[in-house]
Amino acid sequence: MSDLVVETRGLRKVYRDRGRKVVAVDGLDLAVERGGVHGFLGPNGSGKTTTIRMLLGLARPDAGEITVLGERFPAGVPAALARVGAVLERGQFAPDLSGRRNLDLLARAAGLPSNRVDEVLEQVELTAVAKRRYRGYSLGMKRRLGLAAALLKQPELVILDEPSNGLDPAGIRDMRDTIPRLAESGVSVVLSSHILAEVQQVCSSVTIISEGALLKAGRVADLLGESTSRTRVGVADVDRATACLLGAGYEVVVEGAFLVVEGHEHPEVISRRLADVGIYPYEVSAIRPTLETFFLKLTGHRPTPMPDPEVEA
Amino acid sequence: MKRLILVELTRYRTRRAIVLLVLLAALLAAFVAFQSAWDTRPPTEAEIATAQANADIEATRAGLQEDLAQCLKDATSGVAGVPGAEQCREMYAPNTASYLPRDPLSLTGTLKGNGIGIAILVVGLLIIAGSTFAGADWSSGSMRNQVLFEPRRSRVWAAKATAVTLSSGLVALVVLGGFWLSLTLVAADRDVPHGSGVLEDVGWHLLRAVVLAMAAGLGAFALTTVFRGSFATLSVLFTYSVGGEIVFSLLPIDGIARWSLGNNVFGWLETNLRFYDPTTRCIENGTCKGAQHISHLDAGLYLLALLLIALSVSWWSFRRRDI
Repeated sequence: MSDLVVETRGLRKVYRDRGRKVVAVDGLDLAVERGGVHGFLGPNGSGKTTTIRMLLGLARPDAGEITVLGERFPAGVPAALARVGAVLERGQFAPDLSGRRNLDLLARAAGLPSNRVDEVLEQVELTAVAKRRYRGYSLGMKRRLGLAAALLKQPELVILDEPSNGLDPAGIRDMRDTIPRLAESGVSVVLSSHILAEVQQVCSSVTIISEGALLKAGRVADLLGESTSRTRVGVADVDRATACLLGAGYEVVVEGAFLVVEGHEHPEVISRRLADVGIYPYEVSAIRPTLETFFLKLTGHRPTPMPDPEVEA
Repeated sequence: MKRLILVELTRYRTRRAIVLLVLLAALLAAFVAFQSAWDTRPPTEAEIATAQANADIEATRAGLQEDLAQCLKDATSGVAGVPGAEQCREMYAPNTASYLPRDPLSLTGTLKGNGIGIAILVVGLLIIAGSTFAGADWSSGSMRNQVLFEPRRSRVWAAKATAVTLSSGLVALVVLGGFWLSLTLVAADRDVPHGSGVLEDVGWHLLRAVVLAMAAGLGAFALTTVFRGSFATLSVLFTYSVGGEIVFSLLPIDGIARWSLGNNVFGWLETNLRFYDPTTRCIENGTCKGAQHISHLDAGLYLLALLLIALSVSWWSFRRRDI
């Protein structure tokens, strides 16, 4: 049995926009392993949402193959979706109905027991407002209700399309805490997000696409390992320190009152070299490679601003 | 499938706009029934006395006496087709009933007037309800979630179509049935005489109105599923019904009015529709009459054809198009 929960080959989707052909997804090969959280990244308009809609049977590919949880599409769509939950970016509920009634109708349509509704409402902490109309929910509540719907079927795979979009910091934190918990419970998660810090924190592997085609895929640690590390050095005498490090063969860039040493060198080694010539730095810190820098280098696009600082002490 | 239909029936009855439309239909039917009963209420003793007095005054009017004398004189001529003396007295004797302020309740008259009007009103409101039912799924985005929970799209479409058809039929039966029941009870209470076939005509009209309401709700659902919005559906229906009438009246084709939506709807609802067709040019050269007749079968087939086209396109579109 394949250990992939999602597999696509040569996936292609073309839209027509005012008579013009727009290739949204262009020969995409995607492979998501069972377990853990898999990030699905790409600049705006890169084809992420279109791909997700095809994975959920909502859109038909023009070419290519899709296999989800071992079920080959399109014949296997019903069997696959019985084991898949999804939170899509747009609201997905009837605004006039309460959160509970919305979930109840979905559960009844799928033949699920009604106590599942109470369980998932409890799980996403919406029990207290379950009888309130969906229209009156905050954006955070709406997202949590979406997550509750995704969990109704006790899925093996959950697909989240920009789950943190529009949420306040507390909502983003909630979502960030929830996703790893899902993975720990044995659910495979595919997370499409613009917030690369979020992806870096919760994802074990990622796929990066641009203009509908695959750019890079692999484990986050492996991809970041490919990136160049840098070290920031704070010294009183910048000129002497620069000369010392250049003399030792390092590539050095002066950035204001700091030196930035390119390469994978360990900060302690740089500190010792400077100390050997009587220069004692007041700061030596590794500038760790981030998914954002890697993503930028790969795609040439800037995602939404990262909320977390780049530098780790 | 039964499970899905029950879910869709719940969606239909819990949609606030639909509840308001159904209430509006019920209120309008109750109002028209009340108005029909009120406008035909039996005359008071004072009104009868006034009518009698007016009839007596009329009987003594010189002009009427001259007309009666002339009629009696003609009656003695023996010419065939001329009223006899007895008929002349009946014709020219002022009738008190003619001077009453209101006509009595007539179920036959209501069948051609208010009965048709309220049926068309209820059908119109159920068209909006059917369109809203489908439109809400698309505008809220909840259709995606529904398809994620039941990916077999044909079943989803069929369940929704069944729910909207059953709901429209039930609403029409209750509202229009209530309308006719109340008027029939009022007529019985007033001892209004009616021919034996009138109640049968009312029953058949009610049945045809309920069937039309079911088809109209279903058709509106089908079109909205194609357009994915209520506004587009209602615009198309308005353009087809109103614009069609205008275009038909301008086209130089004999008898084309037989194909107008309005005439076929009336042809289906009315007991025996005869309408004047201004597009029939043979009237000008005197080779035919302008009055046309549309049978229930003809009107039913016309409306069924429209419904089948809408259903086919809708079903294909829902199965094939991206959501």
